[in-house]
Amino acid sequence: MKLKELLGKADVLFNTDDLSRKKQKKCIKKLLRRLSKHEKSLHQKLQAEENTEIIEKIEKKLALTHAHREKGLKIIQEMNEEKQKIRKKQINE
Amino acid sequence: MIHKLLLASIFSILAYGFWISPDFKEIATGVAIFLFGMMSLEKGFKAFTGGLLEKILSKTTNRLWKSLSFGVISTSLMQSSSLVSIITISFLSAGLISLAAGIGIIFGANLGTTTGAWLVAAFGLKVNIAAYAMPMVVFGVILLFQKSKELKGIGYILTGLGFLFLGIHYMKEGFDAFKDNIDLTAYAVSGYSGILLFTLVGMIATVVMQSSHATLVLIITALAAQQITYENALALAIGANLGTTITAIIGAVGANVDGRRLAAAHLIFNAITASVAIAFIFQITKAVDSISDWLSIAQDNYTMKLAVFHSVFNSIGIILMLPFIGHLERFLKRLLHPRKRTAAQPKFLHRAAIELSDTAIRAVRMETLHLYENAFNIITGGLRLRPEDVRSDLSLDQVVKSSRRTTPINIDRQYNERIKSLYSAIIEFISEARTEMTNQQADELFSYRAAGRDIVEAIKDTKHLQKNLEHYAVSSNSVIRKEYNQLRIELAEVLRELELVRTPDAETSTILSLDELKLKMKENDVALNQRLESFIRDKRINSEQATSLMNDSNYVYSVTKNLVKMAEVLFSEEPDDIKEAEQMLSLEDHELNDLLQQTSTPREPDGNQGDKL
Repeated sequence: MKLKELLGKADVLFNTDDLSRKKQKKCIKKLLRRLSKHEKSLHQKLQAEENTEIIEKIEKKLALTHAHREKGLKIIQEMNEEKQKIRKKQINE
Repeated sequence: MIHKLLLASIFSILAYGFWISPDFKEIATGVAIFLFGMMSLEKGFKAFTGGLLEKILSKTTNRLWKSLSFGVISTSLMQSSSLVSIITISFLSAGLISLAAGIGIIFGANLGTTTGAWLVAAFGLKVNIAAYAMPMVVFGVILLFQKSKELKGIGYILTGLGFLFLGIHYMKEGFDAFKDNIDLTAYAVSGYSGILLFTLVGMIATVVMQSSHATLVLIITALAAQQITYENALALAIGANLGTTITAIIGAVGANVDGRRLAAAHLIFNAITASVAIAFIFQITKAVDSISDWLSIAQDNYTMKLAVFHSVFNSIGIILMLPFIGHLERFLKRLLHPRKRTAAQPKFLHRAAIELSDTAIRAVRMETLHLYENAFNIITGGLRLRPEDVRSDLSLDQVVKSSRRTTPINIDRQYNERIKSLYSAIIEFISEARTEMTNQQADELFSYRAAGRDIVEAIKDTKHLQKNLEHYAVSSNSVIRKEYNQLRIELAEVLRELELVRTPDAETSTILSLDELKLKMKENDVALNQRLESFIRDKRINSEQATSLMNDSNYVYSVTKNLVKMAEVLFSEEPDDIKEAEQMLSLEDHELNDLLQQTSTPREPDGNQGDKL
């Protein structure tokens, strides 16, 4: 293995930015699982509810939870794309 | 003045000693280097007292045997019962552990500290430890220049151990040279008078050096050089145990009542153990001889026998006191009472909490929550509502309707009485605590200071709002009266919602739940603007009333905004990385606006068309 390649690999291994990104991704995924669970329980509550005022409240909560989930998924997607870009750049170098 | 005189006397005695005896100078240098090593070691271990120690402590406090083991193991590893005492008092002051658990840890620490005597007697005197000390100091100092907190901590530990070893080496050399010139055993006193005298000497030496470990090493090296008799060495060890409680008592001066109770427990334990050891010293010595035989320790190996004695008499203390821990706890609770404090006095900011960065941060968070509690009462009072009603499940319409009987509060006076001094105390504590902190820890403290400022701003806005709330509460115009009541309901809803967010279930997250409040705030604002237009168009309120309503609605908006900002920092108990992820998922202003357009249904204040409140 050439020294340059070795240094490149070591750089990736010890790259703190990369490590913190991984950590962030893990945390976002954890939150997404929590939000998904919350969304399901809100759906169940909505089906069982008859009071229109409460239904409206639950629907708003659902919309908000859904918006949070969408945002989280978008961030994860962007992180994956960013990672692929960095990999391609490293291979080209 | 007394302190200065004492210092001058110690300096004079030491200087005279150095002048007449170079060997004494070597011994004293050894003690000084040893103490410096202890300080360095403590500093190094403090670098690791963050999350890990907190996690271990939280798992070792539910059972007595666990706290006892924690005390034994942590003191054996860190070789400093003083550090363990300070950490325990600090955690107790911040409300992280119970008094019973604290007592268990302190009892365990007393046994753990005896491992020091074993290490010094078994290895310190037989191996050329100075040879190990030098590379340790060199590697340690190099690590001290590193940026990483952990590496710096390791650096302090290595340097500390290096200096400990060097100190022991100098003490040993000093006593070896000393015995050629002077025979200190000529001053030995036998019998009970000797035991009492040397117990006192051991106690004074420990109080002066602030370390029983240092006294013990001094005793062991002196004993190895045959400069003191075995019997007197035992008495000195008992005295060292008694003297060590002084460190805990000093540590407890700035602590809360639990910290003081713990220091008292430490004093009682050591005093009882010392009394038993003195009363039965000859019987214990016989037991030590038998144990030493069983451990194949030579009969004339007095240094090892001293280590056995140290462990035996501390174990006796634990065995004697363990069944009475509950009684001791009750007795201390009866003896030492918490100081009566007003709502404006800090509950969690104690000097003992500053000792450890993480405890200091936790104390600031708890105190800022206390500040919020006070602010909650003032804001609800400013709305002419009772705090317990806002916290209840009652309909807020009903609560507002029935609130006309409640007397309004003077927010200015309440602010001066319950907020100003408490907020100042928090700021002062933060500026003192942050000096020893990493950037990340200091940032966390600053975020709590900002949360405190948000709370204060919310109170000031409520004060501005209160004037018109009072004025229009008795207006003959039912429309404006109801609109102002609607503002009260909206703000009360925010306060109620915040109380719910404070205790989130496992499914929801604190920071993301606050987006719901932000959305509601926008929704209310849009709805009020729509209503205002129609009120002005239909001439149901005049332009002056409309301006007041718009301004005051801005105040409500501002109070809510400040409280939400505060809650984002203060209410979440998640780890930092999860908090960071929650903040990433939290919706921006434009995203909230988009969501509002999808979900909003403008609402009228209940019964606005005719009902009178």
